Amino acid sequence: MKQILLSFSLLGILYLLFFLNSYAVKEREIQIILDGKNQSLESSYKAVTQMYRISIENYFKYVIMQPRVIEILRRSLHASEEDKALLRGNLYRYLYPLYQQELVTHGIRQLHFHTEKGESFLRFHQPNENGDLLIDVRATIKKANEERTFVSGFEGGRIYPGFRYVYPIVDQGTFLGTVEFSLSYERIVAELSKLLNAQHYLLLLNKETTTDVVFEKHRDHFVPSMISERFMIENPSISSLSDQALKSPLLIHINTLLRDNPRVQKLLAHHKSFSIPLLLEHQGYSINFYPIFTIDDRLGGYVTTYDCAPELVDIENKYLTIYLLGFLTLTILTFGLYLLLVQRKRIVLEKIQFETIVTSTVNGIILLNTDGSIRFVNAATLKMLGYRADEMLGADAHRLIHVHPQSLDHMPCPIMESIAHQRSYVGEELFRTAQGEHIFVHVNLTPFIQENRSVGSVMIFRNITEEKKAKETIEHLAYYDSLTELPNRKLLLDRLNYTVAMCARSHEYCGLLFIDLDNFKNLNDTLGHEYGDVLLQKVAKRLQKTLRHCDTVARFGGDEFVVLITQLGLDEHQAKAQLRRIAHKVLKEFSKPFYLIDCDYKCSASIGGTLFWDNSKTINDILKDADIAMYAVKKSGKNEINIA
Amino acid sequence: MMYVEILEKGESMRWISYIGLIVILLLPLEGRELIFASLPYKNNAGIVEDFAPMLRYLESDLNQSVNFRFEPSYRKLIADFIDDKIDMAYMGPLPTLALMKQDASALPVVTFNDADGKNGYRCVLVKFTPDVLPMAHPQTLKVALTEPLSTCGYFSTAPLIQTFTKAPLSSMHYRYVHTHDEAALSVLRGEFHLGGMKESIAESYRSLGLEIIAYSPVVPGFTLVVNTQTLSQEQIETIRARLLNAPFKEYASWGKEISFGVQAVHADTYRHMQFFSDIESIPQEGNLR
Repeated sequence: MKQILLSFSLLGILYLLFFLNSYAVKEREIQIILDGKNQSLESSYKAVTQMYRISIENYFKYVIMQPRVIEILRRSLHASEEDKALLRGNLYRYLYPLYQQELVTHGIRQLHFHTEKGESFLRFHQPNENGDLLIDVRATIKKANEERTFVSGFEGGRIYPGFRYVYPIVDQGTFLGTVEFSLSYERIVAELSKLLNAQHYLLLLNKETTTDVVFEKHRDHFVPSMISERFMIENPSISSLSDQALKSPLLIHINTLLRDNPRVQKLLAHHKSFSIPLLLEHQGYSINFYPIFTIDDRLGGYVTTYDCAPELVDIENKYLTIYLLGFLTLTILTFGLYLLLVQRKRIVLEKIQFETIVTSTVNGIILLNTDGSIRFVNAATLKMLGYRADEMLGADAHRLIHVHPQSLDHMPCPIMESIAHQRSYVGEELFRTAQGEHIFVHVNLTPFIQENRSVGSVMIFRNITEEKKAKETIEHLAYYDSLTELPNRKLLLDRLNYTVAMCARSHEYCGLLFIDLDNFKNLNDTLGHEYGDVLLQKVAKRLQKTLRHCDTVARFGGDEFVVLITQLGLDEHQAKAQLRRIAHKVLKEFSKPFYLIDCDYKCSASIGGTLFWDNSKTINDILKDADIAMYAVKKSGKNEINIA
Repeated sequence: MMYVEILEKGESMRWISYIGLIVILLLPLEGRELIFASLPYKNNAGIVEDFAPMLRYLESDLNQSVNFRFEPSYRKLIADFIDDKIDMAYMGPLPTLALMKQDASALPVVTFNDADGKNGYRCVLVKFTPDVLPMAHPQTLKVALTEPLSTCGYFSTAPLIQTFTKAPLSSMHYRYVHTHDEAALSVLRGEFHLGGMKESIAESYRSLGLEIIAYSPVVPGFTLVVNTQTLSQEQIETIRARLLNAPFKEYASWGKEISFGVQAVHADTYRHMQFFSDIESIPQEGNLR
């Protein structure tokens, strides 16, 4: 669970980082496209307005500044209102062909003469509205009038806002007034559309600087823009652009989105160029806003274009794919990480288990490099061998702890051999402790494989010194009589079996003496069993002392002893004589008193004997023959020898 | 008995059909936008300027939006009205008479006052002051007229011409230039010697040297005509009441031509115009290309 949570958290963080980074890159790509479109709009707008400026300047020079026009204006300077009306009518009549055929045809909506006092003299677009003072509401006229200089720029007006080009009319040093050419936005759009490929155009008019200054009765020339309350557009009844904007479901939708977008509202207040990307029904759009300023540097409005931008769809699709692939990649990586964490946890657990086992085990564990040097030892090893870890690590294991018996000096060390040949080895070895003590160990050596190659061997060993001693003791108890320390009946039978087999091969005679102590029961009954036991011990020692080392003296049971005598030669008579001599020697030794605890005791024995030289007789037959011979002595009076 | 029952069933079925038909006919009226059209006495912007405030004032009581329909000529306006494409129209007295003759559903509800508060106006004959008229050869005179069905068009201008030049208009060159403003401007531009138009329009061009040389008798003011075929009685009464009760501050803000208040239309408002002329005899086209 912890691993899952960790993996998911990591996936979340990684995807968030990936997403944020990708999103930033995507936004940069989109911004580059938008910047391009906005720069196109700006360049085109400047080119169009500049183009018009050049044409209008020509109109001014070659059409307006004619002697007849100058004469009319000069005469109007001091004319009565009645005469001024006639002059106005004459000017209208004279310039109307120019206005209608040239200016209107070329999109110049307004040709407007102003008096030297800044009043309207003649509006060709509304001839019957004149005489109103403009100088206070029209910065272009004021500036051209006061500074006698050409002024151009976007500006509000009493009837329509427009792109104004105002020229001072000066004749022979006399200022006659000003003349204004004004372009409609639709005309600008007509030219813009030759340079741009926008779907729709709109002019957002800043209420404060444009529509708020028109005559009250002309307020209906404007309607709210839908995008912002601070901006108006021309009434769709008089502007085809507005008509399109208010009738096109697409534009209505886009403008509603723009109105509801706080970022757009914020940007509109900054009076700077900006573009807004939009994706609607799998179509990309770039809405570009280019600010236009009035002559007094106030915002006049925004030239707005609605561009198709299929690149935005491509980018969106591209980044959707990137997000998806990124997610898939990160999911796979996270799943891998999850598996890694699970595996790591398993390894840690295994390591803990391993360390627990290695630490707590009573077996010594030594990790050896391929050259036999010690790489790792566990606590049990240190305890068992009495070394400190630093004394062992890096040391040659063979030299440090292995005792190679002298008898095997010519043989290579089996442990080192196994390491060298990457073999397993199991065996008992003798190790040397730090104190110089030798201990028997049971060694289990296994090659240590990492990444498909051997990097050494693991040697697990345990101290079997005590175990070995215990085993010897058990073996001793199994084959020797505990009272007399003589081989017991079982060992005797083993040796007898072996001897019979050897005889069958060598054809050399062997003999068996069955010795039974006389009157032993009386001793036990009279002096007690401890006296009997001491007697048996003394008899055993005396028999061992009397007989050869190669002969076997065994306690067969109770007060019965059996002596197995080998190497009696190939001749039966000589062998028999030899056996008899040995029996007499035994009997002679029995004639000497035995000191039992606190007294001497005289003891005799009845001895029966038999010879065998091949496997024609079984061991039971041999024992039986000797026993029968011994009984015969018992019956005949004891303390005698009978060799059958 | 059986016959009577069938008859009653038939009667009741007929009433149900009538009610259903009325409901069906009335349903589209509710919620749809109303259409207003004006005689083309100005360009579209001018018409919007003049009438938008009044229409907004009406919308608030009608609870319906009212939109403009711009008509290129008097004739087209009348035709569209007859075709029920128009719910309300602003018309001069002559077109109103013409319309009423052709369409019984045309109902003038109010007439608009002139600047002096009188209900009625005059048509005038104008010239550009400096122009010298060839009075010796009146047949060479060129006359600008508004529309065939305009009150100040052929209908009023012909008698004024006759009085001023002692020659009939029909003997001169005349052309319909559609609007009163255009009639004035075309005279100013020198395209015509004379022009006929509404007095208030001519007055606004005095500042350009336009001179009024003859006045007609007073004719009823411009009218708001409603279409009883497309508007319910309730809507018509709302419009009428709303306009008649419009406060001064309200109508003063409307377009110049309609900013002096209204009066109710009476049954005899147009009676004295009936004898002026036979409307059908007015030439529908000018004789000057």
